[in-house]
Amino acid sequence: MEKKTEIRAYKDEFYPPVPTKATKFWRTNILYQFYKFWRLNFKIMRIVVKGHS
Amino acid sequence: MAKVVVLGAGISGHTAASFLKKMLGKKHEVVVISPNRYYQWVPSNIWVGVGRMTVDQVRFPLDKVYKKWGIVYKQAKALEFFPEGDSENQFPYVTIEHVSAEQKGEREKVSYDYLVNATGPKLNFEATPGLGPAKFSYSVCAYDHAAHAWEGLQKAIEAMKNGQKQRLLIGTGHPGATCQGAAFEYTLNIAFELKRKKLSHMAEITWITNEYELGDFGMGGAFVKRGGYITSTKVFTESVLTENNIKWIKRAGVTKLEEGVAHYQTLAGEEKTQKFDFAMLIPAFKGQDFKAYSKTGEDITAKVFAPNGFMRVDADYTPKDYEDWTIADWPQTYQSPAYPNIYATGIAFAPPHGISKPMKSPTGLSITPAPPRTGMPSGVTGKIVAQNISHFIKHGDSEHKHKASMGRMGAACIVSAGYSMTKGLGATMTVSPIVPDWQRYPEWGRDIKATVGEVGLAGHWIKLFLHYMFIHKAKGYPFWWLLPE
Ligand SMILES: Cc1cc2nc3c(=O)[nH]c(=O)nc-3n(C[C@H](O)[C@H](O)[C@H](O)COP(=O)(O)OP(=O)(O)OC[C@H]3O[C@@H](n4cnc5c(N)ncnc54)[C@H](O)[C@@H]3O)c2cc1C
Repeated sequence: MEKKTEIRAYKDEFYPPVPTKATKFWRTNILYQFYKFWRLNFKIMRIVVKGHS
Repeated sequence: MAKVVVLGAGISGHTAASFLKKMLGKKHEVVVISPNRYYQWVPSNIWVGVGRMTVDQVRFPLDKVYKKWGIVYKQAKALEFFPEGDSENQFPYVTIEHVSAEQKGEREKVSYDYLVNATGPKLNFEATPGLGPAKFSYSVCAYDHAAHAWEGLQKAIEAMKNGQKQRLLIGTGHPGATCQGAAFEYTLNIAFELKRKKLSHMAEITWITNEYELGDFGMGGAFVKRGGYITSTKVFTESVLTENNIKWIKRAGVTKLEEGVAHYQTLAGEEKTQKFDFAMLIPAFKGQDFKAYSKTGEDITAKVFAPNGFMRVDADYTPKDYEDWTIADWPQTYQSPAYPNIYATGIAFAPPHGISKPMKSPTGLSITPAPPRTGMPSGVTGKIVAQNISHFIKHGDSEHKHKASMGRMGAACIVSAGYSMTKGLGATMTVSPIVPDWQRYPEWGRDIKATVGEVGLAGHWIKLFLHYMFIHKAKGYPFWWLLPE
């Protein structure tokens, strides 16, 4: 078993957010990621085009 | 007939040479000088380092492409610049030393009308005693280094399979190193591969970095829109590392390596050590140790190059306090102020200063990431310099029609976090501009609408797509010039 860091509420330490099961599911959901692929490519293209004068 | 000489055939030099030849045609000569006979798509070295790609998947020989395009290729390294010629030669030239088997050691003077210096960084392993593939750590900065790192990683994996816990240390190997993104990808890819092999419990992975906060990446961090909030790349990066059970040591300047031990100083001034069984640490970068001479033979290296060996261009190099840095300090044309027919593109130009806030330990050790110059700015600067030079040659003009500043240009960084077509992951990060413009974007320093930070399979697909797209472009396959940098 993979040993995970123990995270307890009210402990005076900082813990970054960790993904929920649902987030992990959507990260590798083929259809959703297919949509993301085009969306992110579009965002990247906008940056690329803006970078050239 | 004009002659343009390009030094270096990496992302920047190869882009410059290909566009120069396309725009200048047969009437003018384009010469490329590079010691490595291969073009390499450096971002995919990460996958060579975890055995997911072979060396031949990330490189190809340059001579065939240059023959097809009509570019003269010399497999040699440039040594000295004579921008005024010398007592016998009225034309400016560079001295080169051939490295091919047939001409090894032969020296030559190559004259030029225009010179593009795109020689990238020198991997300065010597700046950290014990660092580097020949000593106690691995690197993924070149394809042969990455293949070597994979050999080392395989040994660590074998040891894990035999029940021996392994300590893996990944990150920056010098207090002033840059390229955190590449090391970060490598860490995540290793974590992914170990998970795939069900060996995560046998490894203790530690991320060691000279960043003040994680997610700085040498660009002072960034803010991203994520899950209905605007959050910093610090939180984003810590989240990704925590999820992968990777520990981190930040504000650490690695000063020395011995077998299995990294020595580092913290920003608080403490001297500490971290033990490892496998370490991949990025070295400091510097320029290529070029020398420059005037017509009379006087050493003018300091006039042409900055103390770090990178070439001075149209940046504002006046020393300024961090609070006074602006995007206007960053170059736009990449032209040498001393010699207008010389340009430096990609990593080869000297940045005016850092982007991250300079930090010093009480002992005076500067522990600050150097500014990154990623693939996109390297390609874009190569292209605009080619466009301007072609314009000058064809129209006798001297006005730079094309400009590109890192204070205007954005960057897309796809951090691979695991190689698989169905289960792979990539963190897509975009920022615009690369250098924060606090005047234009007083709230976040950058255009928050253009800034992305997302983890998902799509990121892996994009990274893989970019791999094939840029290799297609570099090989000069149909419509290569339509593909963006
Ligand atoms: C592992 C890794 C992963 C990366 N991942 C990404 C990424 O995902 N996205 C991204 O945008 N950027 C990434 N980068 C950064 C990107 O690779 C660089 O920005 C880019 O390679 C810089 O291009 P360049 O042409 O300036 O230098 P280089 O690619 O280093 O090319 C320099 C060229 O100069 C030649 N040369 C060296 N010395 C001489 C000499 N004396 N005379 C003549 N020629 C010489 C070399 O042989 C080479 O051909 C990554 C970098 C690394 C190391």
